[in-house]
Amino acid sequence: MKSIIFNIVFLFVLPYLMYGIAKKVKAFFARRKGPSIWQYGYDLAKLLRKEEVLSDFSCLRNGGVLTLSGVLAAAMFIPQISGSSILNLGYYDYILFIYMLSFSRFFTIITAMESGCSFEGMGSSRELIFSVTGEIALMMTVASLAFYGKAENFNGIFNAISNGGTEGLIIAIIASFILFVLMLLEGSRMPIDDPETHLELTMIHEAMVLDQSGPQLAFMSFSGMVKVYLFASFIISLILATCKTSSYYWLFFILGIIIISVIIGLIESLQARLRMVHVQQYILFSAAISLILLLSVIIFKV
Amino acid sequence: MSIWQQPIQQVLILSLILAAGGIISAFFNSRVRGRIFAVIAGAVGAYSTLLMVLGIRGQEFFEYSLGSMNFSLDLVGRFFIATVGLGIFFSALYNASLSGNSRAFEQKNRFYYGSLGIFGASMLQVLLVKIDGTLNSALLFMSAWEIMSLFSFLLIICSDEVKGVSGKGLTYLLVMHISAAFLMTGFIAISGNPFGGDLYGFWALLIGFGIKLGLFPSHFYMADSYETAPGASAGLISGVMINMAIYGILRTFLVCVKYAGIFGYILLIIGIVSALWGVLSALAENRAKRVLAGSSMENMGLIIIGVGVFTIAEYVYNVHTAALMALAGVLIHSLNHSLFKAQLFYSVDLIRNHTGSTDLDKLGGLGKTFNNLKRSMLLGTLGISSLPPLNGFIGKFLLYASFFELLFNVESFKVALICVFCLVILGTVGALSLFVFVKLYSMIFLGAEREKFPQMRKAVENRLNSITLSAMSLLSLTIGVAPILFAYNRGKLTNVLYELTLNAFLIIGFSLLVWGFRHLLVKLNGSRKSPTWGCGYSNITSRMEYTADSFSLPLMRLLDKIFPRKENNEPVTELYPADITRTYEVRNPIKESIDFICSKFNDLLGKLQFLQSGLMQNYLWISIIFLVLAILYAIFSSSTAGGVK
Amino acid sequence: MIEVKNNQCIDLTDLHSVPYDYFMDTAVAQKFRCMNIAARRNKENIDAFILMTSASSTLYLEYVEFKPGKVYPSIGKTVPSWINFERELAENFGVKYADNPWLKPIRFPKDACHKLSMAEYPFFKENGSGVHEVAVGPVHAGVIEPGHFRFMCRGEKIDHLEIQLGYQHRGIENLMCQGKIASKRVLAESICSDSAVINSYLYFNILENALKITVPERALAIRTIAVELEKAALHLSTLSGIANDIGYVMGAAFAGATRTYIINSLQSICGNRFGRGLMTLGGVAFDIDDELNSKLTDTLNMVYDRVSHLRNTMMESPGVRSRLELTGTVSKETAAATGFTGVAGRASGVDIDGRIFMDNPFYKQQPETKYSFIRKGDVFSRTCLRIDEALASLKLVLDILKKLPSGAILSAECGKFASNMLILSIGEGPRGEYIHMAVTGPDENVPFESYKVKDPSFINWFALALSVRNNQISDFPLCNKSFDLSYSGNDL
Repeated sequence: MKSIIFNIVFLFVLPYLMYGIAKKVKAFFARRKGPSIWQYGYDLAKLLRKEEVLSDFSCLRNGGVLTLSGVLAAAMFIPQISGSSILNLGYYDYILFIYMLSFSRFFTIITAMESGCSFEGMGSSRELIFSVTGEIALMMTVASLAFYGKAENFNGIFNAISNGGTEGLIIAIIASFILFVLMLLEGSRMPIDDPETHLELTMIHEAMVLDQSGPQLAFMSFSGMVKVYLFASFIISLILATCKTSSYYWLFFILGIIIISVIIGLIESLQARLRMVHVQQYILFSAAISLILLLSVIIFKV
Repeated sequence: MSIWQQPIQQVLILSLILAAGGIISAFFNSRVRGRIFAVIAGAVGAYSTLLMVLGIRGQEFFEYSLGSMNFSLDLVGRFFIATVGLGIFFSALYNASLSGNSRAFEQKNRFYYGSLGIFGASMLQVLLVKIDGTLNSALLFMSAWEIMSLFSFLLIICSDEVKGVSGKGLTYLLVMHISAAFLMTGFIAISGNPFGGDLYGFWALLIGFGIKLGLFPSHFYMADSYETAPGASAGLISGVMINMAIYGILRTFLVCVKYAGIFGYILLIIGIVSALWGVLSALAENRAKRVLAGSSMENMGLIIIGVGVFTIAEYVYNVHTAALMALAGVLIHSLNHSLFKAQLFYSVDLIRNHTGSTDLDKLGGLGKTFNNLKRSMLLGTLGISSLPPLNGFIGKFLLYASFFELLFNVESFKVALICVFCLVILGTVGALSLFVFVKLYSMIFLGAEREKFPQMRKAVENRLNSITLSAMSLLSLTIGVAPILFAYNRGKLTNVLYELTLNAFLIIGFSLLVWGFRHLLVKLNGSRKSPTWGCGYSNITSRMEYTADSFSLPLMRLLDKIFPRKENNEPVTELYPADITRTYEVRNPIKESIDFICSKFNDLLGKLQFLQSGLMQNYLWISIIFLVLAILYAIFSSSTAGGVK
Repeated sequence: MIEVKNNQCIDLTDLHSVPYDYFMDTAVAQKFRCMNIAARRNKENIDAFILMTSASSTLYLEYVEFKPGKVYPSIGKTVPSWINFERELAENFGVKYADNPWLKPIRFPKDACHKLSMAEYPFFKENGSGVHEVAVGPVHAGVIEPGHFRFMCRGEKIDHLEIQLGYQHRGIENLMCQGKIASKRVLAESICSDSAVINSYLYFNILENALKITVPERALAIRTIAVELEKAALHLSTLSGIANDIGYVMGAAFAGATRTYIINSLQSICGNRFGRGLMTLGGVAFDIDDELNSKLTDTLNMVYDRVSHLRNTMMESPGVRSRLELTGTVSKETAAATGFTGVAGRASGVDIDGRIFMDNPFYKQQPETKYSFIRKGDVFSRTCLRIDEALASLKLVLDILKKLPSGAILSAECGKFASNMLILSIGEGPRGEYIHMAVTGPDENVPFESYKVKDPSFINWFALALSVRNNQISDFPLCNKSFDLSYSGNDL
């Protein structure tokens, strides 16, 4: 019970902290002071206090609600700061996790399309196209990991990695790499999408929330952050499983979150954004890596 | 409970009532007719659903003989009977909601009910026939099957779309008969007649059922037929009737398991190709009914994948949990598909009645006019995109589960590779179908109206069809939220379904929680509407909305070779160009090649026409040449045979 | 047709109008590039003074009288560089063209002959299904001037872009002709704020020619320094924008910071970061003393190193190159035909440089330009060219600072205002070829009868429209930034 509360509390703190840290790193490289690392939290709080303005065309008032609830439901299955997930389901919770993310993506897009604006259409189309390729990589990774541990749920995966020694380490590292790319995709971070340049024509996720405001926008933005946080948790759980840490798990977890945020910030500072037509290849590249993951798992297991 | 002891007899009687109901209702006037038939179909639907729900608890197997006709019923049969019962009921209900005053409408409507009754009855018959591999059962099965095909053809052609109906309907009839010929050959072969043994029989059956299902590459006729068919029939045929072929495959392969291994893998491959091809062709199309036809192919592909994994798990590797999950997945998914596919067809048909168009590039912004339809279609879209907490997810999840079970329980390089590959395919198809239906839904309902339709008839959406579609979507939701209803004491399957129920409540719970939070915030801070942001431009038109074609074009451009388009695609090169018009058409290469072969064949026949000279001497010559050739063949073949001896 | 030179005063009484048909035949046959057309109402007729140049960069002036009600054939139909000028004449003076293919409103002035409102602009249209339009602007994200862009797209690909400007129209040319000369410096500097120096430079050239004032060498040197610093500053701000658009944070911050050094240098000279108030009649208002000179030299040397560093890091980064190369290409043929000037033309391989017309001794010493890259007309070429030109400008400034001529910064002499003259002033500024033309009035109280400004953006906006054809729509902001054109310079 304690660990569940611990998880839930940090689920509402760490996501925007990650964005804040990444922003701070970017500011450092631009030789700026940058906003406080809590700035994203303040922004969300500000949005929640604002009046909600919807498009004339839109009928679905609860798009943001459904998006956020899909992500929150997905958050139930991934082990977080306490080292265990909030809800332990017996069978194939990783499929549920993937489909909960799809659920939230569905409503993000439907809400975007409600406004009947070409920018939203553009963003939605891009999101869907990239999600198809992303799905290949994610499914292959998850299936390989599950196969490695013959695991029927997330806990099984981490147990197998933890007991796998060097094999486990190799698999954890390859999987982390793929998950990292997918994290950038889901969170619409660089080099896939640039959250900073507010140019309607080049954005993916930001283009979809162009016509949203107030609580709706807060829910949408927070969903994006939680998605990044969940993938980061997945990566950290994989890596920490190889180290078999049990005491001070939460400390290592926060350290991991900080490291991942810094890496995100570094990528955004040092790398140019990909051309839209190359994003597909970038994600396909991660799918190719996931094929390597699958093959190494098969070699280890069969 | 004694009333449930003789279900076969009861279903037979019900089918007779259904057929009679169709004919009788044709004698009443159009207002009463629909209601009478809907009541009859409702009784059938309710009975069949009860039959299924009660059957889940037991493992009873019933048999009944009427003269030389043998009938049987088990759990699989009950599932499909429920599918048929519900499908007929909703189709009748939907059709009853349509109204029209013209003479043509009246005739069509009368014709429709008459056909519908017999069509439903024939499907029930198909499901009751006991297939035991004998020629007798095959004949009984095929006669019911033929009646079903014939009446599905009649249902297709009773459309008010004048242009091309008869041609496309005839193609449909022809294809159905090719399918029937294959099936008959197959049945004869597996019943032990000298036609080349079981393997050929299975191939023939597979091709026959495959054509019926519209599996790759025999899907070419589907989109055309569904597009011309009236909505009520299209939903019924694509949602319910093609399930009969799934039933057929399950039955015939359960009878003979000798070649299960080979056929398991073949089914997997065909299923994968069909699912991918179907979903991509749905994505390539921009006319709503064709999109739905593509999606039917995709779903049939998924079900065939399920049948394949069931066959492999049960008969090759003996992994019973995987087989059970696969079978449950197949059954639940075919039931689900019959619900949401029919619902979407009816919704699209309503839209077509309202606007006269199913072109997604022209539709748009209809959500304001069709509020109820929009709501029920959102549920249908969620369902068909297999997202929780709707029913589509249940079948999909069971398929995933069956692959994982197989993966975990068989130590084999081959199986591991196949399973992971299939899982990835399932995921990709899921993501693509999400794409397809987001496009379909948002292009019809969301945003601004792209075109003003002159024949705007608001009355199209009446209470009856709102209730019909809402009932269908609520039924879908029920299955999605409480899949536990389908499992009773079946070990792991029950646990998995229990977990899915839990998951559905989880997502609904979170939605309610966040909804409450938003409600509170909106109460505190207020909420208002304002025009969509158009960069401050003062003359925003509906042309500045993303079109359906643009929505999927970036992806389809990558698949240009597989899904070619006919379009004027020249780039604008002049410095100061004059206005131009862009058109495009999605081509169907398989249909084109079949048309090409047919036209060549036609040419060949034309060239042979000189034989038909009308002169007696020529005919005599031809017969003499034929006789000589026959005699020569007989001599040579007997001499070579003799030589071998 | 007479051959003219820059900064020449042409007595209008010496000019005689030629028939339009005769003039058109020569212009079409020789494929003259139209540089500017100054026009005035003469009773019911319209006097047009057409400045054009041949392929060998000789300037020609022609005087044509347009009669009201008469319909003229279009030169622009065969020589595209004339189209915008014909549109302008048609809009401002109601000259009727028969077959100009693109006779659409340019700026929507109050007295336009089109009588169209902004919302009724007749855009090019792709009919049929599947095409969607994307309407961007006039209000943009970020600090961008107003302008409307209309894309015809299929999927992510742009079939055609049309740009509708005019939201910034202030009537600069009319204001120039009204009131006292004294207040016109501010107006000239406001034509386009980030090219305030070059515009005031050209404006004072015209005034000084009208008053027969010779600018002292030191003042000219300081003027040249300001012009070049302005050019370098704009290039760097563009570079920063390009880096920002491709999400290259380091480059954006670095280029932006470097630009600040340059505009701060301008501020240290004249107190305004955009060089406003530096120029004055007969010279410059602020001197560069030795202390300032050494400070400027130090700063600009540092800036020079930073820009070279940018050249070596940013332009060699694979991520940046893959994003910039072959994006938004304008072919050499198109650029030559449409007469794009400045970076837009030179990056495509068309060597139009306004400096060859400027009789400024400091430009004469400049070595031949060498290009450090292959000029393909894509975003990459334009970006590299901007760095090269920024470096060249800085080099020139450093050279001038090293040998800053001594003497006065203001001319003492002043002649009588030359009335009824046509005065030309051509210069190369940050965006290309800037041209001011003035027809002086009868006396000093009515200094100008007609004042015509041509900002290079007036022609170059079309380069942007052409460059994005068949490109991905997501690359548009990048293409736009690589041209970095002025809205207010176009709208006047």
